[in-house]
Amino acid sequence: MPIQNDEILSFIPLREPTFLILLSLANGAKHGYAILKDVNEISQGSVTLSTGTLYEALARLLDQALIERVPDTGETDSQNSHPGRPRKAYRLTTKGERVMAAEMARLQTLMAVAQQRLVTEIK
Amino acid sequence: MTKQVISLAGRIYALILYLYPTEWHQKYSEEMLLVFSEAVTDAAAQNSLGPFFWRELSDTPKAIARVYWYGWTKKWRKGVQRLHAATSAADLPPPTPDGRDSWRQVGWEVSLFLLAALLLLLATYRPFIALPPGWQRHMGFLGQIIVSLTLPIFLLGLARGLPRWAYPSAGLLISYYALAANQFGLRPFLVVMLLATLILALVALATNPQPAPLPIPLRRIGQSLSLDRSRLSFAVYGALPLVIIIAFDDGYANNRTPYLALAVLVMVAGALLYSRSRQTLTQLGVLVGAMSLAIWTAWLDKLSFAGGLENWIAAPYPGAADLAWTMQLWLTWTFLIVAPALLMTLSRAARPKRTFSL
Repeated sequence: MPIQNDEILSFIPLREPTFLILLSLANGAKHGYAILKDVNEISQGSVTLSTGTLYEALARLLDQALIERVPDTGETDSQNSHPGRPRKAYRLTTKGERVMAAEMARLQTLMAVAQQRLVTEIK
Repeated sequence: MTKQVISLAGRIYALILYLYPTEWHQKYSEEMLLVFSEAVTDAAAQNSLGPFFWRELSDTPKAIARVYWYGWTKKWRKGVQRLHAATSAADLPPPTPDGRDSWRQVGWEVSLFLLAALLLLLATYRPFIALPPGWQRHMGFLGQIIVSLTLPIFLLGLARGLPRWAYPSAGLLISYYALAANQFGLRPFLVVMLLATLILALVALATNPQPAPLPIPLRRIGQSLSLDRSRLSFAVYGALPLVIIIAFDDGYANNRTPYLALAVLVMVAGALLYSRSRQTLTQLGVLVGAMSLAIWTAWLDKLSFAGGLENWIAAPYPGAADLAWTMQLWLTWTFLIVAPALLMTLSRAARPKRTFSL
């Protein structure tokens, strides 16, 4: 079923944790703890998600079909893998990618306007 | 020591996970516990167990609350979607125009009020109609007139998809039965039965995984209700003849003043103005205004006597208690007229529509 633009736009703007989680998954599937660490890294330490917040967001994103659950191949973060324990990884769906693209476009527009105004102000 | 702390924290976190909804617990608890164990081990290695525990402790209750809230709102949205699917009027013929577009419909919409006004004027001012004192409180007598007048109109309206002219009849009929139930001490029974019916209907709709559209007559009623937000209020306004009877409950004495005539005139004018009004606020204003004038005219009627009369039924001297009674009557009917429009507004707000642009 084709995804309507209205449906994509209905997710915009994204909350910061949601945006960071989706951004973390933009370069490939990751399991829970890898996302947790990556979000911390992307935000340069300013956002550290708790386990509860992470999974609340992941469950919502799964429900909205922006991400999907896939079996963890072990490539995502071998350092922290637990052999014999069940583990799932998460990855962006096409819909999730489109939502991210729409959010990026929104932020870029805002940034462009902000930069233009700031430059005018300084001059 | 650190290993013991990590192990204890894991056990406590495993217990906390039981606070999540069961379905959630089954799906995510094992994975969450694994992530928590990894995070706590890392935090211990970095000597930052304190901030880690503080973050987990302060965030977890909020996360649990959000999970429950998301689950409830999702169920609510799903229920509303099912309700709209079941009551969809997309395949129905267009509804009958109402008084806003047709003077003929205005005539139908006002007819009940005209008839009630005529009967009230005759009963009050024409001496050759010998009604027994206290007929205003004789529910059997009132019932014979009200039911024979309103039931055929209401049934005909139902058969035609409940056009706007049927609403006042429905309102008068239901309010008569509500008043009768109240007089015979059956109000709690009536309220419980109504609530039970409503709850059962909602549960049936919510638990049916593939709800079929409701039968066409029911969907036509829904279509009629959704045309404008004030229709139920107009139904409540239909009870005004009965409210006037209650407000002017002082037997034969009413024929000595023109106030009852004024009240019924206001009632008919209110219905006429409502029929032609287009804005919901104007419609509600007209209904509440006319109802208020009719009720407070009855208060003027009481004031104008200020003394006992033959066949007097109400309190002989209108005082604070009488004023309070009139106020209570007025507040009750104002609420009853405004509340349906508010409910309709809320139900429209609850419709699933999430489309906004950048």
